[in-house]
Amino acid sequence: MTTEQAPTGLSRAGFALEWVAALGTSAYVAASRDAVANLLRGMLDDLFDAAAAEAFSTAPAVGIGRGLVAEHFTGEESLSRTIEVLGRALLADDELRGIAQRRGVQRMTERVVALLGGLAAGYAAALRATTLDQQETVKQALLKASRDAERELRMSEVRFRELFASSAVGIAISDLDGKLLEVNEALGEIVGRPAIELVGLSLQELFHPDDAAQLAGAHQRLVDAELSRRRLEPRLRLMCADGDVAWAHLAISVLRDSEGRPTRQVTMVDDVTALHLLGERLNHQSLHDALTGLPNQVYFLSRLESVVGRANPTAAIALFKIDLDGFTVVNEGLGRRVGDQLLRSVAARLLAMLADEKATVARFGDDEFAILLERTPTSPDVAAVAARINSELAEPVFIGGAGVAVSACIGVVEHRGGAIDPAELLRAAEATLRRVKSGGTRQWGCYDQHRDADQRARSRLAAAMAGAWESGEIGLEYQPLVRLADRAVLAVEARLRWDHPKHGPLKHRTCLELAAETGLVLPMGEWLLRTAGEQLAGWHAAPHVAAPSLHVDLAAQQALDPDLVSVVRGALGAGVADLRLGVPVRVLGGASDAGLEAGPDPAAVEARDGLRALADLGVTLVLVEYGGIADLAHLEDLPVRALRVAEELRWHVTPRPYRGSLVAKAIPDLLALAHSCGATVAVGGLDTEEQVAWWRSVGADIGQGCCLAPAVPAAGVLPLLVSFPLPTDHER
Amino acid sequence: MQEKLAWIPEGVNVDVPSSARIYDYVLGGGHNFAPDRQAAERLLQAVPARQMARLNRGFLRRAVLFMVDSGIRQFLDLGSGIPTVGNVHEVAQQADPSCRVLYVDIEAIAVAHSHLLLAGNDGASVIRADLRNPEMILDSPEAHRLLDLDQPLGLLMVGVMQFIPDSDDPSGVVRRYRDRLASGSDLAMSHFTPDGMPEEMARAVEVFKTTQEPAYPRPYDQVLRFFDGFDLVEPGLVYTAQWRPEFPEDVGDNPHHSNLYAAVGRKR
Repeated sequence: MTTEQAPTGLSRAGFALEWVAALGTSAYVAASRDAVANLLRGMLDDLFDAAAAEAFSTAPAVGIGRGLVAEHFTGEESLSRTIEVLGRALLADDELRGIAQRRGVQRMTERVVALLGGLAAGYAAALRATTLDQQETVKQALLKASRDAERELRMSEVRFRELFASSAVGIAISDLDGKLLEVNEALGEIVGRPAIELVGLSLQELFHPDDAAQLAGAHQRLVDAELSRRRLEPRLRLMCADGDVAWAHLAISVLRDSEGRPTRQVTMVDDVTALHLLGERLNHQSLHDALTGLPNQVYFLSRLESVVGRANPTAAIALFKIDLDGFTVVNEGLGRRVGDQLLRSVAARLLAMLADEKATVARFGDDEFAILLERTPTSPDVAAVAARINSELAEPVFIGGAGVAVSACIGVVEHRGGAIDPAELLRAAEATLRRVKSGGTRQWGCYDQHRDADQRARSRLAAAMAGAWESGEIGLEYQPLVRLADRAVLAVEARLRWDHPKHGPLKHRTCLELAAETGLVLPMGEWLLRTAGEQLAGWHAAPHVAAPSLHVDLAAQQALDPDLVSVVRGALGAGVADLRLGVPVRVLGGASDAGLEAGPDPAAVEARDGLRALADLGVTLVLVEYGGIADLAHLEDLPVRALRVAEELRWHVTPRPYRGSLVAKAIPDLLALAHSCGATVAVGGLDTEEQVAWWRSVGADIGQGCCLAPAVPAAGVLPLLVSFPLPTDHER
Repeated sequence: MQEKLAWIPEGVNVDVPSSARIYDYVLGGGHNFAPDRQAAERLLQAVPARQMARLNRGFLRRAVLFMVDSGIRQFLDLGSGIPTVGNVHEVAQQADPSCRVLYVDIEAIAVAHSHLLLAGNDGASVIRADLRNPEMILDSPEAHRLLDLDQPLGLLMVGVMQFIPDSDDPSGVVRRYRDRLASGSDLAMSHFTPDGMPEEMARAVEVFKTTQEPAYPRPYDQVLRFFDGFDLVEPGLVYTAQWRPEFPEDVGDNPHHSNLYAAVGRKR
């Protein structure tokens, strides 16, 4: 176009913009508005040129039609809006009108129609070609997509095959009845059979009978619930060819066809046997004794609980609590290693001897074992079991060349029928064990309910002792020791006395025994010495009284107390010279240790040293519980000045000596022997003049009893002393 | 495409309409089958689908050009559909031939089609994947070849998130992409909304129920929430026609007839 046609150009530019707007809303064009405007303006000019050309041709219009399609002006209304806008533009154009006037209006109108027709034809042909192209493309795309999918499927099949074959997880594919159709090698390895052998078997056959039903049920639920997969929570057991079981986690799934109908079951088997065994081992460790491998106390108690907890009236059990004798000696003497081996051998022998019985053997700690025997009609009785235990243990085991044999004390409780607290059973067995142990080594005994009741009452009493002492229920009483020749008071014995509100007065010896059970005996004994020592000082300060000595019976624990000397000196001070200490013979051990295989008991040796030191301080030592010639040996070893006849000996002549009693016949000789050793002899518990007379006749020097002088509280001592004759000499 | 394949494998479905092919049809394309065209006609009776499609396509083009202007040279187009006109790689590579584009679609034919179209273009590729698996896509060999996640990337979720139901946690999906993107990356999203033409869109939802991809148009606030962690560029979240039009008059009198919200956000 040329510049002189500017006004017409403006009008064309207006039509061009109208065309741009029409096409812009009828189709999406991936270009900027300016680019579209330039393009269409070019087309518009080409069209006008064609209309004005000397030699008329519709070819440019056909090209414009094709161009519109090529530029994606292919909206529903793109062509019709184009024809409408361009028709108006061509007819309204000033330049074309001028030409029309020159060449004829009819001719120009024909040209316009022909051009628009050509444009439409070009557009239609191009659109048809494009549509065919697109359909061809989409057909190729569909084919390609199908092939891709097919290849993907083949690949996934290959991948599945690879996975199936190489997986460490066992995989079984079965039909809905559980018949195995395919099994991979991993599953074969888990159950220890070639995979090919498993095909055709039932899936359930691979599993432990107790677990198979669970698996079948889980598969069925999957089918019913129309779920595709789930993991089974509990571990299930597979049966292996070697008879073992393999533990496995399972994941199961159901394959369905395109209609959603279940067709196959898939079972994935993850062998966790090793993990399971580890878990078992940890579990085992918490319930077993590491040294012997026997169940520990926790395990034993739970076993006991489950057995006695069952209220089966006919079930009978026996509970054995076993303590090895002198195991500490083995441990300390031969070393811990030997001790450990001995314990293992004990465990093995207990297990072996009960192998045919329904029994649980446990180790509770150190040298303590326990057996729970669930009685059957053929079980041996408890006596036979107890005897068997000790005869088995008596067989020496050779450890590092040394033959070691042990014995045991055994407490037994039997229980038949009905539920019972297992802790109570165990307590009874332990109480019985303690009782039989006090009788020595290699002892056994059955639970004795009455004895047990007594012991429990005693224990309650012992437990209450500290409170009673604190509150003053426990105090001292004093009873004179009287010379039988002239009835002069030589000494006053200070004793413990517990005025128990329920059990009445408990005597000195009972108090000491109870105190010994709770560890009160040493402080209480010291308190006794100190309190009585203060009284002794009072007696000496009193006028008109020949002050007596103070007699105190020591408890066995006091006699063995390494601090005895300092305790006595601290309590009595200068009064030690007026103290008579009663020492129980039994704590002194054998007088001559040469013959004892076990060697001297170091505690007894130390006790004797202490007593000698006290004698050096002026304390008069009195052997109490003098019962036989053997005891006289101490008179050679210790500076003992007096003896007191054992209570047990006295009972033989109480209430009166009967004719023909061997003891009564022997007593005069025993007393004579004591005298010959330079000791005076005292006898207690003289309640009648007859007894006094008899004892005096057989040679006793000193007596004590209510018929000679009563026991009185501290305040009653001085008035009592006044009523007695003064001693005629200074002998005590 | 009249001939029927003897066997059409799973994932290739020509009997159930596909939203990608409906989109192609309403844009004037011929890459579709009779069921797609029938569904498209029903859709056209419910909503101005041609206009929606055209405006959405326009937004995609403007968003890509905006990103190129911002210096972004790599694009991940999720739910790219049938390659019709003005595809992302055409727009971007026309602006700068070094631009790289990875297309992702779940529809097998659309992916196959894109493969054919992109043959010979080293800077663009397509993978078939579910956009709900961001890790699988971002760690695919094609992503490793074309995209550098240490550099800003243009993430395009244009007209696709409305096909992800709430039960598939669409926000979580966007977040998982966001977390992998370098700071300075852009997210362009457009999304069906019922806000503008509620009744018409409700009818459109019914039409989509008969296709492979049921649609879940979302209100303004929910769409906005997809941009958590992104700073929206001007003019924020608006109808597609309103997002940075070339000329003010392009917005038209009824921008809400576009029925899609659109925005571009930049990762902080």
